[in-house]
Amino acid sequence: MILCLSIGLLALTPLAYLLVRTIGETGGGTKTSSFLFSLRTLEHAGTSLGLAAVVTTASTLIALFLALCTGASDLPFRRTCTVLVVCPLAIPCYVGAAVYIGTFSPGGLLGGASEILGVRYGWFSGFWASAFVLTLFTYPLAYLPIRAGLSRSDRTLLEAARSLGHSRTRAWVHGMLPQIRTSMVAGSLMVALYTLSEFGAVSMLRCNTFTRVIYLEYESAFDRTGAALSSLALVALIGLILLLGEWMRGRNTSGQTGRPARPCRWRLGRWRWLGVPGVGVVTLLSVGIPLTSIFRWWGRSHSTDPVLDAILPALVTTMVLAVVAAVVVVILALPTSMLASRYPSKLSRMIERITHIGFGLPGIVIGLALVFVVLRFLPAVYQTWGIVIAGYVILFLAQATGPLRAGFDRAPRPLEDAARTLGARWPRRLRRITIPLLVPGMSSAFLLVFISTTKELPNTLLLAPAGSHTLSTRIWQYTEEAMYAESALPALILIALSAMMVAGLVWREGMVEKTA
Amino acid sequence: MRNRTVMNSFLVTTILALTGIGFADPASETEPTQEKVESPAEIIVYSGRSESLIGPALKKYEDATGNTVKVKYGSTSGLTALLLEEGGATPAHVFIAQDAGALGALAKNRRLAPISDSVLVEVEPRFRSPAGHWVGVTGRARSVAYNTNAMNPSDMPDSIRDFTDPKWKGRIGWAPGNGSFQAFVTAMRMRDGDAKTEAWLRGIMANEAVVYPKNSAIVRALGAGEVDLGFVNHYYLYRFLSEDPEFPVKNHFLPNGDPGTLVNVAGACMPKPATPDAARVAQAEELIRFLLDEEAQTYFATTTYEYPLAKGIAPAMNMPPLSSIETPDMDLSNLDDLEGTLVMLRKVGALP
Amino acid sequence: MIELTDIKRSFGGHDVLKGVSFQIPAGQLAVLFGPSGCGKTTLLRIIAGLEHADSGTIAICGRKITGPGIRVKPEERKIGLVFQDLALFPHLTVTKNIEFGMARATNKADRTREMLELTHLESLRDRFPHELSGGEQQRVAVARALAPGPDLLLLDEPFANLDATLRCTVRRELVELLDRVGTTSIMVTHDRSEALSAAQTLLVMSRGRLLQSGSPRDLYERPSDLRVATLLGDGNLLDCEIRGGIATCCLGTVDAADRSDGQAKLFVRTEHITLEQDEEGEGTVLGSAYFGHDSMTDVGLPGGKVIQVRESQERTSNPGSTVKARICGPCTILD
Repeated sequence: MILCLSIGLLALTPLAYLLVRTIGETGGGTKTSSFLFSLRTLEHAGTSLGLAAVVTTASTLIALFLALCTGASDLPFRRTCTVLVVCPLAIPCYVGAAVYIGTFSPGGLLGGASEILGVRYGWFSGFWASAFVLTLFTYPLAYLPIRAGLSRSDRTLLEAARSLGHSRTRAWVHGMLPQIRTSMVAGSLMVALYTLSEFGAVSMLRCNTFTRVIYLEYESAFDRTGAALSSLALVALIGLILLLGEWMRGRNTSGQTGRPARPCRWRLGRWRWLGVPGVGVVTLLSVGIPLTSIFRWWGRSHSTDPVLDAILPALVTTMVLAVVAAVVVVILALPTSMLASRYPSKLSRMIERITHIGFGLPGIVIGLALVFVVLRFLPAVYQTWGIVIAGYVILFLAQATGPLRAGFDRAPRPLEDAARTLGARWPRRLRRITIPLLVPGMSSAFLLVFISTTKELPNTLLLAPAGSHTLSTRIWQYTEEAMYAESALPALILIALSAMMVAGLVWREGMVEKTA
Repeated sequence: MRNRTVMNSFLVTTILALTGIGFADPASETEPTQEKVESPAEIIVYSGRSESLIGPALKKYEDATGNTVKVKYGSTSGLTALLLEEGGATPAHVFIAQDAGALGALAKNRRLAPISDSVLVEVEPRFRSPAGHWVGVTGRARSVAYNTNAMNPSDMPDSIRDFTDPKWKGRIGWAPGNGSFQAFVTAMRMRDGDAKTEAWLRGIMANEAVVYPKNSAIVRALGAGEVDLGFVNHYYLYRFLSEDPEFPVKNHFLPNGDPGTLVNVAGACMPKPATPDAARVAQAEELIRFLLDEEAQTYFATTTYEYPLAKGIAPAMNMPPLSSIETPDMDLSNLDDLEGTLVMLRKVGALP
Repeated sequence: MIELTDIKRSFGGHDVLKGVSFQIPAGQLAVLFGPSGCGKTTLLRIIAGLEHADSGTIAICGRKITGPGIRVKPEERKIGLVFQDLALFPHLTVTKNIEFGMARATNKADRTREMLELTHLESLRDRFPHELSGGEQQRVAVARALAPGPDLLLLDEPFANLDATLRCTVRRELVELLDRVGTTSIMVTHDRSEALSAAQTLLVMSRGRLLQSGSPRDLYERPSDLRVATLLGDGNLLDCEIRGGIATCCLGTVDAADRSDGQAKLFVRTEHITLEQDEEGEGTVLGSAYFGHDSMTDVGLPGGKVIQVRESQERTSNPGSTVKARICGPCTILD
C-alpha cells in the first residue's frame, strides 16, 4: 500500500517541484516582465485553445461521418473502409507534419503547388496548417469511441421517434444522436487533450501553442522560469478541459434501455456510393499522400549509407529504450493495479487517480519538470537514459495500469484461495494460476507502453543524452534542418513499427476477449 | 503479512530493474558517475558542443597525456543553467560553450576561476575575456549567405541595417530562435541601442522574412532556391560545399564592423569550486592549452570549418582570413544579456 | 470428524464470530444455515485456513489445525472448498482443473477418471470452464475439491449462482454424490429449504453465534428460541398462560408438562393449525394468498389478533366465512 502510494506520489514530484520553484522565483519578478508575461500568456492560451477547438470540432465531425458510414449504413466495402479509416492512428502527428512540410517544399510531391499558386515556400505553416495536420491524424481518437457507441446504440429509440411522427432526419437527431452523445463527448475530449499536449507537429509548423513556447523558452534562455510558467499555464488549461469534460459527462442523458441493443443500420439507397469518396478523401489525405511522399523522398535520397549510419543506431536505441521503458513501467504499475483490483478502497482509487494525472500531462511539461528536479537534486543523472525512462514512467504509468488491472481482475483472490485449498504452495500458485492469467494483461500493457515510447518526442528531446538519437528525435532533427529525403526512412520505420504493434495489440485483445 | 511480502518482492524487483537501466544504457560509458574525483588524472568536462565535434579532440588529449576525460554533453544553455544551479558544488573542471554570451553570464555570476596569462596569450584579446575568465577556442562569423543564381555580391547593401528596405520583401530567410542569431541581435542592441534594433527587427518582419528553425535549414533552403539570402553563421556553407562543390550559395561578410558580421566564439572556461584547488586548476588549464595547440586547432578548422583562434593557424577551405573580417569592436562577454534580447524578440513577435 | 471450540473473530471492532463450538461426526453432511452476514462464510474460511481466528481451536480427526500458536496453512489442511462463485481456473480445461489438487498423486489419471465419472463430466473433459453450463461448472468445482481426497469438504453457497429450476436437481445430485463418497462435509447456505432438505446435521447461526444444532426435523418442530423458529419457517406467536402443566391460548390448550406456571409465548407453525367451517367459530377469514400447492390464509381473531394458516389446496377457506381454528401439530413454548 505504502509502496503504491509512493510510486504514485513520486510520479507527481516533478510537477510539484515545478510549481513550488516557479512560485518562489516569480515572487521577486519585476512588474514589467510579469505584465509582458501575462499578455503573451493570454495570446498563447488563445492559440492553444483555438487550435484545440478547431481540431476537436473538425475531428469529431469527420469521425461522426465516418462512423455513420462504416458503422451504421450499408456502405459498400464496409470492412475495408473501417480498416482504412483507423490507419492514421499508426502515424504520429509530428511525422504527419514533417511529411506534409516535405511534401510542399521544393522538390516535394506537391512542391509544384507553391510555384503554380505563386506563393512562397514555407506557406504550409502556422495555425491552419497545424489544425489541418492534427485533424487528419487525431480523428481516429474520436472515431473509435463513436463507432463503439454506435454499435451499442439501439434502433428502438429511432423507431419510437418515427412512430411518434418525426421525419427520418428528425428521428435521427432526436432518437440517435443522444444515444452516442456520451461516446462523442469522450472522443472529443481525447482529441482536445491530445491537441493541447501535442508538441512535435505544432513546433514544426510554427504554431505558437504553449508546448512550442515552452520548448523555445527552454532552449534559448539560461533562466528557465519562463518555460516553467508556461508549463504551469498549460497544466491549468488541461485542468480546465478536464473539468469541462466532467461537466459534460455529468449531463449525460443516454439512458440504456436495459435490453440487448439492436444496432441501427441506415439504408443509403441510391446514395450508398457517395460515402465511398468521403472515406476515400480522408484516407488519401491522412494515409495516401503521406506514404506516397515518404516513398518518393526515400527513392530520391541518393546517399543511403550516411542515412543508414544515422538511422540504424537510432533504431537500436529506440527499440532498447522502448523495451526497457515498457518493462520498468509494467513492473512499477503492477502493485498499483493489484491494489486497485484486489483491495478496492477509497485510498486505492485515489492512488489510481494520482497515477492517471501523468497521462493527462504533456510530455514537454514532464520533461521540463524532470530537468528542474534532476538539476537541483540529482545532477549526476542529468542527460542519462535513466532520466528519460523516468519521464516515460510518469507519462505512461496509467496506460499500463488499465490492462494490468484487467489482468488482475482475471486472476482474483478467490482463484488463489482455491489453489491453496487444493494444496498448492505459493510458487506453484504463482506459476500455474496468477502468472498465466496475468500474462495477457501484462503483454497488452507492455505493447501499449512500447508503442507510446517509440512514438514519444518531447520528453525524449528534452532529456535524452546529447548526441544520441531515437527515431523520433532524428525525424525532428532532419525536419529542423530541412533534410526531408533523410527523414523518410526513420518516418517509414516508425510508422511500420507502430502499425505492427497496433495490429499486435488488436489481435491480442481479440484473443483475450475470446477466452474471457 | 502475506501482502507485505508480495509488496517487498515488487520493491526488490523494481530496484533491480532501475539499476539495470545503467547496464542497458548505450551511452553509459561516456557518462560521469557521481563518485568523488580523487585521481589526479581524471578531468571532468561539461561540453555544449556535440560529441561528434569535440569528442575526437578530447580523445587526442587523453592519448597525449594519459589522463582520462569524462564528458557530460548537453546544450550550451542547458549546461549553463546546470552550472548556475550547481554553484560551487560542480564537479566540472572545464566547461566548453558554443557562445560567448553563456560564458559571460557565468562570469557575471562569479562562477568562473581566472585562467593563467600563459594560456590567454595564445588568443588575441578580442576573442577572450578581458578579466581572463574564459578564452575563445574557435571563431564563428555571422554572414549573409546568398544564392548565387539569384543575386550578385554587388547587389548587397553596405550594412545589415539596410535589409529593411522593401526591395528585400520575401527574399530573406532567418532563424529568430537560433542562439547565434540572438547573440547577433544582442550585439546590435549594444551597437545601435534597443530602439533602433527593435525597429530593425520590425522592418525584417515587415519584409516577410521566412522563418527557419536552424541556420543549416536556411543554407539548405538557399541551395534549393526557397529564399535568396539568409542570416547565418559562416561555417554551415562549407559543410554543404564539402559534399557538393557546385552548391550555389556563397557567404558575404558585411564591411565596416557591421553587427551582421559579428565574430562570436566557442570557448572554454573553468567553473570555480567552492574551495580553491590549485591542482585542479592546473589540470584544467592543461586541457584548455591542448585545445589551443596546433593539432587540435587544425582539427577544428578542418572538421567544423570554424576559424581557429590560436595565433598562427590558418582556416580551411580557402576561407577569407579572420583578419579580413571586419567584426564589430566589442567585449564578447557583454553578449550575456540574452534575456533582454529574448524579451525584444517576443515583443516584436519574432518569437512567440 | 471435525470439532470446533469457541471460535472468535472480529473485524475492526465488530465481532463477527462470538464463540462458536460444534462437532460433526465423520461422514455426515452438515449444513450451516443463517441469514446473510451472520458470520457463516467467515467461519467456513476460518476452517479452511483462509482467514485466521482470534481465539478457539479446530481439530479434524483429532489433528489440531487451528489453536493457540497453531495455524496450519490452508494448503496443508487437506480441506476441500467449493467456492460460492466456484473459482474455476479459467485457463485450464475440466481435466486440468480436477487434476490441479493432485500434484503428487501417483494414480492421478485413475483418480481423475473416477471423479469425471462420478460427476458425469466424461464428455466435457477437454472443455474450458466458460464453455460449460452453470450446473456443469458446479459439478467441476465439486469434483476438483473432492479429487485430492480431502478429510473435510466445505461448500460455500454452492447453488447460489444456479437458477431456481436447476437448483433442486443439482442439490439432489450433490447430496447423493457426497453420500456415496462419504466425505465429511459442511455446506453453508441461507436458503431454508436447501438447509432442511440437504442436512443430516443442521446448524443454525445468527449474529455470530450458533443458536441450535441437531436434525432438521428436531430444529423445525422444536426450535430452542424464536429466532431459530422464524429462520426455519413461518409461524404464529401467540400469548398463552401455563397452569398445572397445561398451556392455554386463543386456539385452545396444549401440553406443557415440564413448564412452570405463568405467562409464556406459544409458537405454532402455519401448517399446524386447521380451520373448520363453523358458524359458532371465533375466527373470520380475512383473505387468502394462493400459491398453487397450498395457500396462506389470514384469520382474524377476537381482540384484533391475526394469525396465518397454511391450508392445502382443496380446503381453502372463503374470505368472509367464519371459522374455528385449532392446533393440529407440534408447537413450541418459548419464554
